[in-house]
Amino acid sequence: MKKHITFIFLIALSLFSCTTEDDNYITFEDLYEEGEEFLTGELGVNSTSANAFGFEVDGLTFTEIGAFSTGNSLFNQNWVSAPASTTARDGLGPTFNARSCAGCHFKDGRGSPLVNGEDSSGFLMRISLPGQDLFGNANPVAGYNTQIQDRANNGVDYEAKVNVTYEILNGAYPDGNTYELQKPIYSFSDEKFGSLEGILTSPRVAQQTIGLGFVNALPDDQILQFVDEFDADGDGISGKANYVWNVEENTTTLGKYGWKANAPSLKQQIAGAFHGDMGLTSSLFTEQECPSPQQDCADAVNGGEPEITDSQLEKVVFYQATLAVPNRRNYEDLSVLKGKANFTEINCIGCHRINQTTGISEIAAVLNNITIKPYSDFLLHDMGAELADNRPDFLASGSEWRTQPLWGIGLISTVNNHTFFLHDGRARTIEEAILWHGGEAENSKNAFKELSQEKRQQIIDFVNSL
Amino acid sequence: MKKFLVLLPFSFFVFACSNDDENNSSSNDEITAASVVENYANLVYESYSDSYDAAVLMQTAITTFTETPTEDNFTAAKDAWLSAREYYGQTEAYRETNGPIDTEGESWSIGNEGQMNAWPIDESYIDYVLTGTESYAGDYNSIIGDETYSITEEALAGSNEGVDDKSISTGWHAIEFLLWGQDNTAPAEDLPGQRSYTDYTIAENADRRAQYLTVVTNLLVNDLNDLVSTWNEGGTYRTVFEALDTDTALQQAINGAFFIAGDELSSERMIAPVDSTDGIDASGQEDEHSCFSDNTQRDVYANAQGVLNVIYGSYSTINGASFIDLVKQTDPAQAATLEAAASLVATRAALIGDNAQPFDYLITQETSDSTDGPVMQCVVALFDLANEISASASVLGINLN
Repeated sequence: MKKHITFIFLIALSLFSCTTEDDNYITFEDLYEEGEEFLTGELGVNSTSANAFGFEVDGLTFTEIGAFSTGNSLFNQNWVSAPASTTARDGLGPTFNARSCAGCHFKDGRGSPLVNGEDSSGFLMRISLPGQDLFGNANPVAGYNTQIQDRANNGVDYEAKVNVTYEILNGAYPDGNTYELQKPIYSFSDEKFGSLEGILTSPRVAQQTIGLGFVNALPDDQILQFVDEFDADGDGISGKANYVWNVEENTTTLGKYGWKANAPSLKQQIAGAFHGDMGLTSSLFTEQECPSPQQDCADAVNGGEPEITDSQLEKVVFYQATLAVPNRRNYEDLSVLKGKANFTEINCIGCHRINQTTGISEIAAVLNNITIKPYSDFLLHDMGAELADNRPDFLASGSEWRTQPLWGIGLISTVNNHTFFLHDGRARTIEEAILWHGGEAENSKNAFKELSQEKRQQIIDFVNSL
Repeated sequence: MKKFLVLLPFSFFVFACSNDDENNSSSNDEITAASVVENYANLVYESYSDSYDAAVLMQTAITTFTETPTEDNFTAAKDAWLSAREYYGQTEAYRETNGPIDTEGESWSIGNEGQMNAWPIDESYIDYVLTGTESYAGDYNSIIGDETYSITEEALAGSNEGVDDKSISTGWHAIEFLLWGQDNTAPAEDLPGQRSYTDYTIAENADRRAQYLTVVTNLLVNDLNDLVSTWNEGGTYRTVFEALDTDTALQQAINGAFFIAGDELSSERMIAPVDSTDGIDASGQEDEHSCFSDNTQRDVYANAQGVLNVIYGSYSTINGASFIDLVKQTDPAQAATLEAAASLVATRAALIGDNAQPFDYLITQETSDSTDGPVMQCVVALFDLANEISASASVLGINLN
């Protein structure tokens, strides 16, 4: 039934574009769908300021607003090394990537790609050896575990530094216009605990943190409805669920967060970031991240057990869960509306899905039963060799990535002053990000390239309106 | 919400004529949305002008001090900062209005809010601090301490939020820190930062510190000047604003007041500090807005006053058609509720603004789960006011969120 509807819709669309070659015939009324600008129903915000990602959803109770405010403060606050007079905020490290959540998710936004010689602002490198550990997770690297912490407290060695060079790839559209992509090539230097030669690597930048509570509140079936692992419908797009170790439930559950859908819940994603990125222990991750032989790290004073209390963790989770998604801008522009039609026509919508409905949120009741337009199916897709990091992550292969939600994407330049996209920030623009798509997205990418420059721009305008 | 849905696409088409139509009804006492919007633009211009003028007086006092660094001139510079803050605080109600101060990417954008008023700041990014009191101390070279750093307006503007959102190099609070220094005293002592004027005479890096203070002050004055110019009659944004559909303009204007009351002031600047009082020495200094000068109670008062200015359409010599007048015309009962909420905010903000105790002491006496103390009492009143602003906007067919 679903397929049937899509089919008719596509025919209708293609008729549309044939019979109305003169674009003046396409009007606002033809293309605008009532309420399409509200990506999270009535819970979105209208801000277009640099703080556009920083607002809470409407309708929180007095106590909930308090939790949001305190979570916000904890998210922004720099943690310091123990022992310190600021006992509530000590425990940073001993090794770490950032001093605060906002250090990577600046204004709740997106991190930047690695710049050689500079401390990262939102970039980190995951590492592993081939194979899986007992929980299905990637095999740790001796001396380092599964992530390079490139900074450390005084008196403790950081693990290593990561460097990048770029290879320029030239390409051309069928219409003769050319483009240039930059492919990053990473290397390590200053390895303190043994050579990192030949290991598996996966570079990652921090994602914007809006709308996460809606994702947490999606019942599994809302995500699994799009699974088509062996492409039974033959449309070239599969969609695979990642099942990952759930620390709290002590079992394997559906992965929802992260570039490879390797975190099952918002709480575990956040506790994992506190642990891996900032060196802070919590009730979910109780051990300091100091693999043998990092003795100075293991001997360093900690900031309490755990360093982040359950109450603090819950407030940060609440804060992250209730960060609102901005409503769309420029949604009534004809170019944007045409871009939306093109986006559907070349089947970007095949993975960047909309209209899932949340169930009951255990975090905030206001998130219950909301139909959302994340522009993501939250499933894994093979994105081709060019984007592959060749490092498996639970069930995700080295070329599979979770569809990134597109909501808010057009405001990243406002909030973060950059337009670097994809898992390691290699794409410098939305256009480059589209052109990197391969594998299951190859057909859509090629269809994009076949479009006229005007229609390509309409798609970019549409994506920027999200 | 439903109303908004219908309204927006409709006004999209009729845009061009709505302004003219509504201007034609001035014969009797009827308040029009257009006249409220017009008065609002005057209000914004006037208050940015006053803020600019006060900042220029501060600049003059700071110049006098850096040229003749004496105790008296130092005090005069600090007094000028305190005086200028009374004006700036009221202008914060013009944020989150899709206006020039915090919008990016439009031809008329200025986007200098973070450059003027970002906080809290990691003061060791700028200058020396007491060892162990800040996260960067010990492994971070301050801008003033780094002699390879050339202190220019461009450089300081480029460094603002250069590491993370606490690495603030510009604006009111950078100037505040340079004038007062860290407040390492206990809140109960009722003392602000104790920086000595000799930091500008005999202390290490005295010249660089004076240069920083001068440059960062010039930058703030320029930023305010940009806002005055753009909101002046015929100014770039004033022109854009006056061409907006009247309902859109009104929605944007009132959204700023709604944002300050329901979010920035109540949540960010009051609840969070109350809840995080274990900052430095369990004193919560880091989470209060003006933590070096102990002027946060006046920030609270001025921010609240700014909200009331927008609701009542009055400020200084400006007194014209207002949001509340418009609401009264449509729904007198709702206007009365709004007025009661606004009046309670005025009372409770004054209780903080005129309190004998500084804000950093007040917050150590309260927790966010109790609403007995003056700070949380004011939060309750602000939330209530935000709700009434929203309900009043709905009466006019305007959705806020």
